[in-house]
Amino acid sequence: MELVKIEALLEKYFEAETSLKEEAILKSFFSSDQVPAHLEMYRPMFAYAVAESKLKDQTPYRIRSKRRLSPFMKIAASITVVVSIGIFAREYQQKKQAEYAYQQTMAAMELIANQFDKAKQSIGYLEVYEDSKNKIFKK
Amino acid sequence: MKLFVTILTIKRHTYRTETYFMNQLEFSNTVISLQDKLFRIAKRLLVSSDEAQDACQEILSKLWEKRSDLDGLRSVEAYAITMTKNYCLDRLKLKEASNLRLVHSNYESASDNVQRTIEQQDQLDLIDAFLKTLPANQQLLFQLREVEGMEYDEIEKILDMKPTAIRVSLSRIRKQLREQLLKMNSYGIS
Repeated sequence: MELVKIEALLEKYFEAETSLKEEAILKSFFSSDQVPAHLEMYRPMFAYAVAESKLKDQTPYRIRSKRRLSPFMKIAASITVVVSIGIFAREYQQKKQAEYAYQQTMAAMELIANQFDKAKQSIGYLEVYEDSKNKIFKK
Repeated sequence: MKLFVTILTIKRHTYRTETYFMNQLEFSNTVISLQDKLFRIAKRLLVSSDEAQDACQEILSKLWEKRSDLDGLRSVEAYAITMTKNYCLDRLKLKEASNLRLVHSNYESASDNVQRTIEQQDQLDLIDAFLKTLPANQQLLFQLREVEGMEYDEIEKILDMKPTAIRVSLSRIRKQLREQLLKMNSYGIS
């Protein structure tokens, strides 16, 4: 690249009329070791841009994906929920019925037990009868 | 029954590849490859590397959440850069509001660039210092054109500026930089 051309490009550069290609030419020229003394002062401008463009983010990014269920899985999940609720409800009902039956049975048993108690009291009379019978008919 | 099961498995398979797996792959290809660029832009505005890293992670997460919108965009890059710009400007405003000054001490220019030689260091630091005195929009303009090498029409969209305004602004920045370097040269690097 001729020096005259570089100087012309620089002129354009400061008016912001250069294209990206022309700016790339300037960047590569000023990073070479052919820069004459009177243009040396421009070197840092281009060196700075080149150096800055090499900065890298040191922390890698990982996608934190919230896993979404497929429609198939959604259907399966809702069916499972409904079925399990059904099973629990039925079991609960059965338990309730069993409890009712138990209470009924207990009530019936109590009734019978009460009757037995009454019967037992009557046996007491029998004993009194036996005693007086023995008194009267002494051996 | 067997047929039903096979239909279900096929359906499940296509679902996975189309909307789940491909998106992640596409996302990595388009957006994650922009990470370094977004980081540099964030760093230009926020100065500290740590903050720029945080900003970058935040923006990539936001982009990932909005990935379904990205398909319709003409330029994902311009969109991502605009987002970064807005995010960083918000951060800066927040800092000003809470009276927290930017701490320049945690800015490590030397360790960031191994490429920089020691004799260049003074001049590059001078450029750094000069750029920091510019308003945020001009800093961004410098970053996008000089460092990232983007075309004017893209910069116009991101910065929401007219073409002539961009040229004038950029020309002024370049001339100011030249002046700074001239001043330094005439005083001599002791």
